[in-house]
Amino acid sequence: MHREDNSVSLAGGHRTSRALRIGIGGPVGGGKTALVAALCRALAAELSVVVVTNDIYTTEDADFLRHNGVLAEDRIRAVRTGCCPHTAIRDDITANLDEVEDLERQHDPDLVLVESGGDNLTATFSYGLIDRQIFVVDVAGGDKVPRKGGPGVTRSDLLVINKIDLADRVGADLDVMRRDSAAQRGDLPTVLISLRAPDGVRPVVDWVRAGLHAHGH
Amino acid sequence: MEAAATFAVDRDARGQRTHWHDAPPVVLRPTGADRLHLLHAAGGPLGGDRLRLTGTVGTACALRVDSAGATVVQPGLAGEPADWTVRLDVAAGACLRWAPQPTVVCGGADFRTSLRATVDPDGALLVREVLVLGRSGETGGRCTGGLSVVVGDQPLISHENLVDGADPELSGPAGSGGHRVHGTILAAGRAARPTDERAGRSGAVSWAVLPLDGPGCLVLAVGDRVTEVAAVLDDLLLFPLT
Repeated sequence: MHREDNSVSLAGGHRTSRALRIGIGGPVGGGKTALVAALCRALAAELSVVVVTNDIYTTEDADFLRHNGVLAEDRIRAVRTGCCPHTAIRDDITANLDEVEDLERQHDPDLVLVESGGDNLTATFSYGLIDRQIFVVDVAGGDKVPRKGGPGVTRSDLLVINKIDLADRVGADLDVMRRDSAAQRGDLPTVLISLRAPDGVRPVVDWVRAGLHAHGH
Repeated sequence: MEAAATFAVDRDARGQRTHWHDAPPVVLRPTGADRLHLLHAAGGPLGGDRLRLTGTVGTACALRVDSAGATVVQPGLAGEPADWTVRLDVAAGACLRWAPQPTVVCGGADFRTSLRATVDPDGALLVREVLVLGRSGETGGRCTGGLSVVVGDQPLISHENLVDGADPELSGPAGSGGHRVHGTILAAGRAARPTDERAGRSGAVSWAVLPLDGPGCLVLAVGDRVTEVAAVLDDLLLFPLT
């Protein structure tokens, strides 16, 4: 049986970084990678940002971010989960913690973005891995999604409803989505955005800035 | 599987240090200077597993133990129970907050837990656990939960709680009353004596605060939804338990 001796101290410990760690989850195709790219473009000039992506078999999302040049290559890491993505962000979070802690040691960032692989409405992050989480759904997935609930919709720290520019084309009612989100989430915030629109990411950037401020930055 | 993991927290001039031995599937991960997470490196526990964790919180140290996600106990092939044994020691001036995510005992599973702690009279232990009988739509399996705490050289509590979602008597009015979510808080040691006995209902959750014969108290809360029971436990923690 594998057995390890480990020791970590306050001075040389695993969590001496003051970085704010934000998890970004949600169903396949909602715009998680686009949101990560947009946040990097908006914040990387003034803040030190690093990113960990999760895919099942590939490093597709990390490759996308590298090709788009939103961050220096060594600030982006990919975890290949090999299995349903939620297992690596909620159950056995070691692979992600390894990458996050390594990036924190290397870059001493202000902000760590951990992008989950696309999963379903039950997939949420363990707070052992991240400090806050964003759940991303999109209008094209149907305006009934907020009503369906699940922990991502009901308890994420920020719910992002993306692709509002497509609402008319797919017959989605944004008022229904807004109303159902409020009913599911109580006081927790929801933003409706289009990442394709100029500065469409702004409401999420503002939320991240508020989070950084509350985190002592 | 059989596995025995350990952790120890101590302090010297440089600050607090955490030492640990992983024994998969019991995997530990420090997630802060005073925080440790239990991870589910192989799912489970399954029937037949015998898992053990021994932890020590040294003089003047503070530690919070959480788990990354819920623990889901499933039956094994041979119908054997799954054992989860925890031994904790809290030294003088130390504080341990043991608050893992909920444990779900699936239908057909037989889970036997034993949490035994020794606490210095000048130390503090807070145990906060939530047990869920069955996943959605299941009545749930059986759980035998042992809880035993000694403060100084005086026993504070020695308690065994048996629940079984498939047993009509244990889940009837004289047992868990049909409730599938059972929350427990045990406070022991320094500053852990409630002023009086209290009981009440908050929405669909029934709860009671039970003073113990010694420096400590036991809080029980039963309901049907994890979020509701957890909220009541958190509210009760805000009451002065001293």
